[in-house]
Amino acid sequence: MECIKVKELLSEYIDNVLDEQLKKSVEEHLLTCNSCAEELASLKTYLEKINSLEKIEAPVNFIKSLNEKLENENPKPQEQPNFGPKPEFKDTKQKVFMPFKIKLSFKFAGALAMLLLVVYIVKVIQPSEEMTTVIPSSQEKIVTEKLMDKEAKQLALEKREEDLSSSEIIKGNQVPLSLAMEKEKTISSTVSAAKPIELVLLIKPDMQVRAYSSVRTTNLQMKSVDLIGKDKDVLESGKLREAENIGAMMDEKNSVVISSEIENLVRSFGGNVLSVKYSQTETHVISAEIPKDKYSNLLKSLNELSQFQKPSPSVIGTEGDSLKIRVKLIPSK
Amino acid sequence: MIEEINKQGGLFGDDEVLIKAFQSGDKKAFDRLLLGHMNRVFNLCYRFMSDYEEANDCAQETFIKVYRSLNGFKFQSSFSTWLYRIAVNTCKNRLKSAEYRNRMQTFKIGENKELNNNSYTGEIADQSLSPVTLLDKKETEALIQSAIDSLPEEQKEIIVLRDIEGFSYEEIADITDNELGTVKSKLSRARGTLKEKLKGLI
Repeated sequence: MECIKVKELLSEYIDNVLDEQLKKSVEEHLLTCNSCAEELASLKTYLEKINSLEKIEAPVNFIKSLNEKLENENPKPQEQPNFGPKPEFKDTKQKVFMPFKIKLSFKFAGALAMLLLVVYIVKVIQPSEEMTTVIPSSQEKIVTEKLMDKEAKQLALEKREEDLSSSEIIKGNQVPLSLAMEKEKTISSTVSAAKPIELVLLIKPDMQVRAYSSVRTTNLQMKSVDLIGKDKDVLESGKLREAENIGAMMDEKNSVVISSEIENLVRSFGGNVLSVKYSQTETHVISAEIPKDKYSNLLKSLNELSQFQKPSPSVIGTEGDSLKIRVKLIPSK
Repeated sequence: MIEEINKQGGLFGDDEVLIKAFQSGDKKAFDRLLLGHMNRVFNLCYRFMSDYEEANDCAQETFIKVYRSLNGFKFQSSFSTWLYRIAVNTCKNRLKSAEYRNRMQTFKIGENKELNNNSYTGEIADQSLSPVTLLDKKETEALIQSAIDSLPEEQKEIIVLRDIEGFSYEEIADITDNELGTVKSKLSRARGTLKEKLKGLI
């Protein structure tokens, strides 16, 4: 055996952990090699020195001090030791593989599953079966009635859609009025209620000014003109405080001016004014009859004159080729 | 000597009995367990840290960790192996801590003056030592301790466990989480390095 190999093994040799064969080989080498024998001697001396080191003992108050720390630190003796799997992982693992605490018998579990299945079939699958079932002739009438009901519902839905689209007109005047009118025509051909169309109009502030200027001084007119630029925002936001000032100045005479313009419009489209109610309060109502094909044009013209607060085209009464309308005129305040 | 040291643990009763008593709620059993291992753990910490106060802190921290974890101890390894693994890891963590490094840096600046006054130099292997017989025992111990302290952490660990605390190769393999062959080769190399550092003494 070579010296380098023996020197590597000397540490194990001195600790007596070499197997017998290696031990014998090392011993044989040591008998003939002074260098390795010296190395062994120095290793023994080293160990003697190391072993002679004093055993340093813990201070006398070690346990007392430790107990104080344990009391102060609110010990948690339930924690896992810091070897092996981490406690958090172990806890998670135990939770995942933990058997259910509530034990269910197979019979009960089966019954529960069946119940759920039945509920599922009744509540979820049943309606689609009803649609696909072949209808016997005796029940045909009932089904037809049901279908008619559905059609009526569909129409109601469309009407609701109309309401929504109309409300957009009020908000920003951005939806073309003609579009809304086309829908109204469709509805009018299917619904035969004889209720007049009710239009609620807000008189535009500039129209008020126009009307007002005919009877007021220039000074007041200037004040009103200043407010025109703000009108759109004021109306859209529903804050009508500015416009209210103008509206308050509006007298009966002015309302008559606007009302007479509406009456003229109705007549220009070939319609008849049935009645005009002038009120001391804010609302003035004009009832009129107008050819159905002129209705949309009338609305456009009214839109120029005023703002729609409530177009309400949901129910349109028809009598032959004419429509009955009722226009409520409200000053914009 | 080594065999005697190995029998130190459990002087105040069988470890397993004491641990089970503790796990059953007898908190005083921990004190008896502590008495059986306290000095050995302290000595290990001292040889690792080369500082009494640091050793005290590490030993206390070790037993605090043991106290907190003892209820979960499942006897899958020997208590002794587990305890000394905690102690070694506590010391290693402490050596790496910024607090310890700052403290040692401050300490060494003052220490150098003292060493110069006593004609010591930093490198033990290179200094011209007086004959061993002339050296005070305390001085010899201080030199050996300095030599141990100057070893790389891995070598220091194995020297302390084997040559100072007398753990078997198998126990060291368990404590350090190394293969037996690795322990053998590391120990041989560490002894060679330390022997070289203590050349003047041997």
